[in-house]
Amino acid sequence: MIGVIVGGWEYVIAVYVLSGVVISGLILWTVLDYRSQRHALSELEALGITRRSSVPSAFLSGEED
Amino acid sequence: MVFLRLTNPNLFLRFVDLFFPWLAAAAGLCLCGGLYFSFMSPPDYQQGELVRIIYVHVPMAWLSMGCYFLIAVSALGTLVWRHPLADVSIRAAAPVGAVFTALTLVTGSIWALPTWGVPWVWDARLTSVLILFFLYLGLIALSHAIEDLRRSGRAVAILALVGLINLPIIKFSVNWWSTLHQPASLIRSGGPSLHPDMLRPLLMMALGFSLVFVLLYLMRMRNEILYRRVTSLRQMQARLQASPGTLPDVFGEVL
Amino acid sequence: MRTAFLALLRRDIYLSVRQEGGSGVALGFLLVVVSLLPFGVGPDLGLLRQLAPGLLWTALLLATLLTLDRLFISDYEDGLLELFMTASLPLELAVVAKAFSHWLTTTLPLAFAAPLFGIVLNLESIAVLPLIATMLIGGLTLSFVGTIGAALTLTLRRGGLLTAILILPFYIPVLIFGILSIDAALVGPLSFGVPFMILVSMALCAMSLTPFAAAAALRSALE
Repeated sequence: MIGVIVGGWEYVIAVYVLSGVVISGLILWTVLDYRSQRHALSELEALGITRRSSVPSAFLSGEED
Repeated sequence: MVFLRLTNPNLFLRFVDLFFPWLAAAAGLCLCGGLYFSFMSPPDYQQGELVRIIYVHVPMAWLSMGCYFLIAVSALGTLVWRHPLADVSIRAAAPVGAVFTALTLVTGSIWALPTWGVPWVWDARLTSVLILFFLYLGLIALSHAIEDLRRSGRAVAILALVGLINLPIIKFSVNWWSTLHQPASLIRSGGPSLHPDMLRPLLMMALGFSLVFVLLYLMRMRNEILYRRVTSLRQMQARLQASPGTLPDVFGEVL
Repeated sequence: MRTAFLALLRRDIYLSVRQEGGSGVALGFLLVVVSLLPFGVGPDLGLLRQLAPGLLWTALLLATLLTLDRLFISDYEDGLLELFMTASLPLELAVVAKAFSHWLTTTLPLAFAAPLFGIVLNLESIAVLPLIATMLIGGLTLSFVGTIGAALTLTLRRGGLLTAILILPFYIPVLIFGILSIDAALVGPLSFGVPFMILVSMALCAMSLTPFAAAAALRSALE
């Protein structure tokens, strides 16, 4: 039988802090990842490489930097 | 019907951008409310203050199981309809599910340490959550091991579905195993229904964490779509440099 | 179709016996585990007797994992697997043949060697028959489920460890009911038949369902 437990705040705080840190870390990592993907995409776009319909005519005629 | 249209990656991206701030605000609001209710609620007559751990632990446990079902549904989407977004969905959800499962385990053992005196007990529930964690690890490891995105998507989907069929078997066998091995179980689950004072923070936190999960999931899906675009554009760039003048046929390779 | 199936089965058994890969590795592994254990936990015969069934079962499981990644790899490298896809034998049946040959060359020798190794662990004599029976039946599930893991990691360079991680959760129920059956035979309170029938039903389910998953995985790997 489990007796009545007095106190235990340190465990409660540990759980909340740990969960907070882990989840915000995950969110932060995801946001940073998003930034880097966006950055890579805009870099490629600056080179003139874009998706689908918008193939630059420069590439089609074969001149390249 | 609206949701069907969202399966177009472009529309999906726009949808995420549109709802992102609202979701984030709602999640923040729910979590703040949950925290408030959690620390305002009276201590439990048996567990004392430790009952507040439950408000984090239980939502995490729910979500780690819910996430697996999400993955299994996406796996069906990959295998039956071959939808590229289903593939993205599995890759986005698996790491989040793994983290939530790990948090379930860790918060559970922090609760167990003062309650039972030991951080880990080979009890049926703990053991099945641990096995769920292994399943997640397997999914993640497999999805990283196979480089070709299409093939890795298919392989991970097969593993996820096999895992889904196995989950009840695992649950059942672990239950049986622990009831036969455990001398007088420490845990009496269920018990009387929860007092409203405890139900309120629990539901609030559950809602908050669910929103956080959805948020993370959508954000990771967005990252994955962008990542695939970057990869296929890089391939296109490489091909153009190798043989300029030819129209590359890499359009829409993965997304 | 039957002749193709039997020919594949015969060839696989022949290869795994000749190449001293399958059976030899499994038996050697069992020998190593059994001879190391007493040094690890001490020579107390009572303790060893208690540990013996669990240890032998765990050794079977690990030996299966160890030999799994060789299941399809040589046929994949030879290009034989791609031939299977165009052959008269459905890929699912090829998987069944593979799983059977794995069972015949790994589980079968281990199941009959385990009681012999059990002698040095002071295994109780009434545990011998349950041990052999559960290993034979449980090993079927292990081999069949293992084909999924081997198929999923087929094209990977170092798939061995990954296969083990993928398959581990699916092996736990088999281990549990294998040990429960032996326990039931030794001390009760259940009769041996109850957990053993569950073990049998797991094997039947695995035999009927896993070939489809493994074949699907092979198809996607070979695509």
